[in-house]
Amino acid sequence: MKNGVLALLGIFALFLVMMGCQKDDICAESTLTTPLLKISFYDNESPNDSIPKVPTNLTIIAEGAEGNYKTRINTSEVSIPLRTDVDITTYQFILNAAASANDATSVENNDVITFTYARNQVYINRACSFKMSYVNLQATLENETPNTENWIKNAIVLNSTIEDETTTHISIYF
Amino acid sequence: MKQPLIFLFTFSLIWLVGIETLQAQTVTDTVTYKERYGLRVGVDLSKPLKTLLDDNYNGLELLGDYRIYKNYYLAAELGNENMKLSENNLSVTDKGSYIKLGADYNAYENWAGMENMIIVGLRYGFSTFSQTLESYSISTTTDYFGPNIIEASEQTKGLTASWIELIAGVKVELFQNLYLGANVQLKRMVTQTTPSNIDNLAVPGFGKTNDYSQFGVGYSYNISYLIPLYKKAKD
Repeated sequence: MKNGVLALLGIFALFLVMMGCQKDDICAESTLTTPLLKISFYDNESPNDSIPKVPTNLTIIAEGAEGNYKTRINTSEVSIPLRTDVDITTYQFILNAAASANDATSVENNDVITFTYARNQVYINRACSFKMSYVNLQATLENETPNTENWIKNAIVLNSTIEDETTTHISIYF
Repeated sequence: MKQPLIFLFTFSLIWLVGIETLQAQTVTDTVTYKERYGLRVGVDLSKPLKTLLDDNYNGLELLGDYRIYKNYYLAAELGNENMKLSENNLSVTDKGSYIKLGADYNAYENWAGMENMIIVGLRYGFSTFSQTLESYSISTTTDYFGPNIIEASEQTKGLTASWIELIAGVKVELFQNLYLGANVQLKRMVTQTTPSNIDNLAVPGFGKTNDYSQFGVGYSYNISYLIPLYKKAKD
């Protein structure tokens, strides 16, 4: 009798605890969702040495998106998102981007790279739903005429599979 | 000479009557109360109620127990559930049937004539069901391209799951043969087959699963009717 009541109370308490600890509802910020494409910029003078080089005032814009993804950044590494609804994403990389439309002091150079890939859907959990991983990544630099108009000399795929952002996927030489 | 005989006769008579009375009393004292054994069948009230109140739920559960020995009962539940789970970024429907088999122990020491229960029970549950992925979004670290919400209708049939369940509850005789019961259930998943690209977010009979553990919880409010089959003296 006494044992029964104790067991009953114990199980009921456990029940309440279990009901209270549902951390399923919110997707935690720290969750690894769809990875970004990591790009590293290198000096084209010595392509074999892979010397990091910082593009000046680089603005990055995707076709079909609202506004700039990055505006006038000065860094030798940048991570950009790929579209999750189609197998192609086209980006403009604008070197020496002007601070405003009236700014005539900087000479902009706009190069276009098209990224193509295949998408794989990966389940995370009930709060975060699914993420994408990408395979067979290819990068195509749009050639301008004459070739010297391109500030980017070469875009090389280092890792054609994008599952995380720990390694560089694309090397850009300029 | 006559007087002592009469005395003896009267005394014996009283003595005999006395013995008779004493014996009669002993017989009355040893009348034992016989307890009822039988089959009790019922229905879970919470599931039809939830069906009425919640547009995303449909369910029914029948239950029964059979007293086999003293305070031990064989028990079973049979049910069907259809649950739509709408999370922030994901929506699925799980539907199917389940059976739970096990035993109840009555930890309550009843007075003669009472048949109430404090139940500690154990079940093995088994479910066959399907899960349909209705819609989902792709999680990204940036909303630069806007949200990508995909409307799908991917059904995976033939899923199974099994679990062990610990039950604690009460059953009270409201009227002759009619019982009202309530219990809570603590469950632990044992085996489950999942669709190839997603987990089972809920399992009929088990309820909502947990992403981070094998445990689940449930409850029942039920009404049941005892069909008495035979009586047996309490030891």
